[in-house]
Amino acid sequence: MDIVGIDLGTSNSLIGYWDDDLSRPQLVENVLGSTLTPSVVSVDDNGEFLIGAAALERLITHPDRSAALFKRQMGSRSESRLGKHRFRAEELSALVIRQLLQDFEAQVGRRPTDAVISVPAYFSDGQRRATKLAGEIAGLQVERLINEPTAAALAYGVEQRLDDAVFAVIDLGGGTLDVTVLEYFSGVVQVRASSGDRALGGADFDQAVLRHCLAAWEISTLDLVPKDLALLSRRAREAKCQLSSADAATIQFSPSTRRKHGEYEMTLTRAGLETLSNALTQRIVATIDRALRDSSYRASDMDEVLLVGGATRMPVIRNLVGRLFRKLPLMHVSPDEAIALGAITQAALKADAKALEDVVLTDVAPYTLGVDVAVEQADGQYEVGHFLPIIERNSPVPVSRVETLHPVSKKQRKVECNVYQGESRKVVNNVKLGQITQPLRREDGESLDVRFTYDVNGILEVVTQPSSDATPQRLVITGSELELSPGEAEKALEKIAHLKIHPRETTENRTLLARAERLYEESLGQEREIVASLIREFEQVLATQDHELVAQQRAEFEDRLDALERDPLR
Amino acid sequence: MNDAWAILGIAPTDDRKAIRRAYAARLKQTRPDKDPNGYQALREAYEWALRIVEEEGAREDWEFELDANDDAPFADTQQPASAVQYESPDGLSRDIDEFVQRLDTLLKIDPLMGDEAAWDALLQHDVLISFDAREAMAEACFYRLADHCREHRKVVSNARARRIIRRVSESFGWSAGEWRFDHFYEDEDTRDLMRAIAGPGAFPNTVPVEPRLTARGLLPLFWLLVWLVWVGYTISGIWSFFTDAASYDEPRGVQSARAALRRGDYAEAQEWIAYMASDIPAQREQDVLLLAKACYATGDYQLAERILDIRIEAAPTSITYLARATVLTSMGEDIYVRRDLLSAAQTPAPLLDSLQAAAWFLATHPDPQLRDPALALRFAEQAKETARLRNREVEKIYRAALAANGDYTAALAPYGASDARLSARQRQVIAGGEALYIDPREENYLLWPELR
Repeated sequence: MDIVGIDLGTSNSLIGYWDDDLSRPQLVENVLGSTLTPSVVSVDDNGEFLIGAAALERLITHPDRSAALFKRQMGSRSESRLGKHRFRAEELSALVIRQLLQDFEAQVGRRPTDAVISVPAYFSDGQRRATKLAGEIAGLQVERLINEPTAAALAYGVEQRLDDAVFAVIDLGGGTLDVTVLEYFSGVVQVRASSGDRALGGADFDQAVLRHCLAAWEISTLDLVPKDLALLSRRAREAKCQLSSADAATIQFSPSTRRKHGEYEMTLTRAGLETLSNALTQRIVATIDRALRDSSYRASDMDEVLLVGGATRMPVIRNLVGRLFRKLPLMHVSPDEAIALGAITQAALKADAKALEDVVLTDVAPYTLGVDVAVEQADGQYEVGHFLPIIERNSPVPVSRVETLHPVSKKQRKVECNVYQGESRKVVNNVKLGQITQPLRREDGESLDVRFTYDVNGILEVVTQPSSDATPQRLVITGSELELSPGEAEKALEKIAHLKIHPRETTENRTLLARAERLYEESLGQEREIVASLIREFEQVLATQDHELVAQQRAEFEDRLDALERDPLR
Repeated sequence: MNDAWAILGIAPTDDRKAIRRAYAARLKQTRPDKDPNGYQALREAYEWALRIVEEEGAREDWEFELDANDDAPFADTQQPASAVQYESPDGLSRDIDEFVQRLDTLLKIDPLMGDEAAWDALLQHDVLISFDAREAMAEACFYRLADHCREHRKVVSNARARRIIRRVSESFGWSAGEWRFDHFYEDEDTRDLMRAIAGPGAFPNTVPVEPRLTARGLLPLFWLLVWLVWVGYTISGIWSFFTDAASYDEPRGVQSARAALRRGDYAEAQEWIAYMASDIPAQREQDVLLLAKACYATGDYQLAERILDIRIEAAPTSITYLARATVLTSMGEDIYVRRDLLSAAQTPAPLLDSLQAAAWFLATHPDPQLRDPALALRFAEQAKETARLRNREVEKIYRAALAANGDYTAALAPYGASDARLSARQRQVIAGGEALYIDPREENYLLWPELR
């Protein structure tokens, strides 16, 4: 099996392959024995790059040398700073993918050449291209991009061998919300509609908790240094996670700045969290509403409602969905893995795996695509800036549609077609994707055919064909100035290839040390001394380079750290 | 679509299951990723066949109902279908009535929308959990709020009222750029509501910021815009003196209005303006701009905007857009200011002033959602090209755009004489910006006041 499935998540990334013998997807574990590799990159003092759990620990101790949540910047020009390096989101993602590939090679013994990567359904054209590029920088041929909720539903449907059912999948991940309505019949997995909110995820609930704390303690974000803010975000996230099982959680915080010195404490109840997240849950309802309306199904038509994404572990979300659909939502056995399993299944479909011979997946376009036009008004004047949809949202893909336009004036030498994505009837409120200029012959009754072709990967091509013999123009949307040009992509490839990556064999040691360092920074007094002496001891053991001894001591070191973190000396 | 059945490979039927089975079977031969055109044709045939079956079914049901009504001469079976829709055993219609009543009461108590907590409670109403009723409730809210905003224009400029309106809009998903109902309404009618929704302020994804910094960011922008428009007038004035000197004479209406303004007689000026405003598309651009400026000077922003609206619809030019942006700035409508500045800078031959104002706005606006560093840089570069000569103002804006893109090194690079003007304090701010840097999109501006 040479095609792998990759879930490149906001918080965690996963990789896996289709096991032909078992006829099911198989996830690959990293060197720490977990299928989840945190999507975090950090650079240490020697200029070596750490990716995954070790980097996640360093996010607290060295926020200036670590980067996380870069998926949100995908396809934008903004760069993250790691020490003296600067990276775009594509490059950081490529580093994460490279790490995944190493783990894959170590476990399976082959190097994959092709991949299917999952993206949020609501990713725009530019963001999809950026994701594809990230795969290519890491040395993979990206065969296909699959929408995340579709992937989750595909995995579930194939696993359960469903037939004749209508499903809603609600995917609330770290940074995005996607809602998809699907049908299953006779081996066909058909997406009816999908909708999403690109800026709503588990992290926003953390933010709500964080803001609530800051407001109650009367601290402004300006009073805090980034380290404190990162620490408090972590505490907020921990409290949120605790509230999934407990009724109350306590957040303790002592800022290191002088301006707001002291000990702060806050107890948050489950009901309190629910109140805090009211505004967020209302946005979730609005998103689900839109998907249902587009699918022309009713809430009561759903046979099942499937929750995926780590943030759906929150009881708030489960209750909400239960009330909306009057049905107990299904939790995927492992909400974090569902998308990766789907991406792998898609990879297997792509490779014509035997077990999936009669499964076909059809998807839809998540947003409306069109051009801007001038509309003639009653007084003969033209009003510019109107949006003419060519591919309506939730049309089945691949799709190709054509629309005939006429120049406003007979004297026109050319027509400028601006390509937009969005739902507003005025283009000012929509997102501009690109522009195409078609020269005209100025003949009588000359018209222009604009053809939009949207492929299975969600990538758009526009062709204009004038009725005269003027040269037709072709445009593949490239996200204009936001995207890397081929030359820049080449450079990015070079840049990544020459980075020193921390050797895989010692990743476990580094992760533990990074964790210990975080514990050291978080603790005080006696506990701090214990951590310090543990670190010293372990470093001495490492210096002996005796593998057996290191392995033995490592286990003990880990136990001690676990114990300290479980019940700190207070 | 007679060949739809041929594409599906079955004889015409009204059996939904048979259609589905046929579609599924054909689909396995025409996979979407391998045969895009074949798939599109197949999918269209499938949807068409399903629609036919559905319409047929609906017609039969309808005929059946008619028959049934003929047979049963009871008056109460003649109820309109819409009334039945919301009747359900759990008293949904009662909830709907209650929701609408509470909505009306809230709007009636206080033109400025009243208490935030009361609105929050309303949006938590159980009726909104039912998707069937939700749509109707969303529409009811939309109409009522649109009317309310139009009646009480104060709402648009009131921060608390706007916050409430934004909450409502978020919970119905209006803010996602999708105006489901605006097709039924003229722009005029919904405009105030849209403004209230789109106005600047606390967005859900950003940590609250210190208000004093926000104000500091806005004020220079405002003065800059006023200054830029003033320069624009001067330039166009001088230009017209040379080109049109012989033929140009100010219409009497504008003359009189301006004379009245000089005397301080606003009432008379207003009369002249109203008189002139009746035929804006036909007037010369200079006259229209002077008119708008006169309105602006009397403090009648609405009229100034109206005049420019009409003019822009008839003949959009860089300077008219810029003028409207200035008016809108005074009204605090930053999202519309942004729209106009973008239009002003993107007209075929934009004025230098438009480019400058747009770049500055996009680079430094305190609201991260309104900023666009990449575009700001493009405009700033274009402004540099347009200006040709070294121009300190242009350079300042260019530097700000660089900084907004996170390129502090280039922003601080020496630049002739103006380099000396970069004070130690500014260097400190920029250095601090690097040290405290969290997320370029969210936090940057806090540490980036301006390079003045």
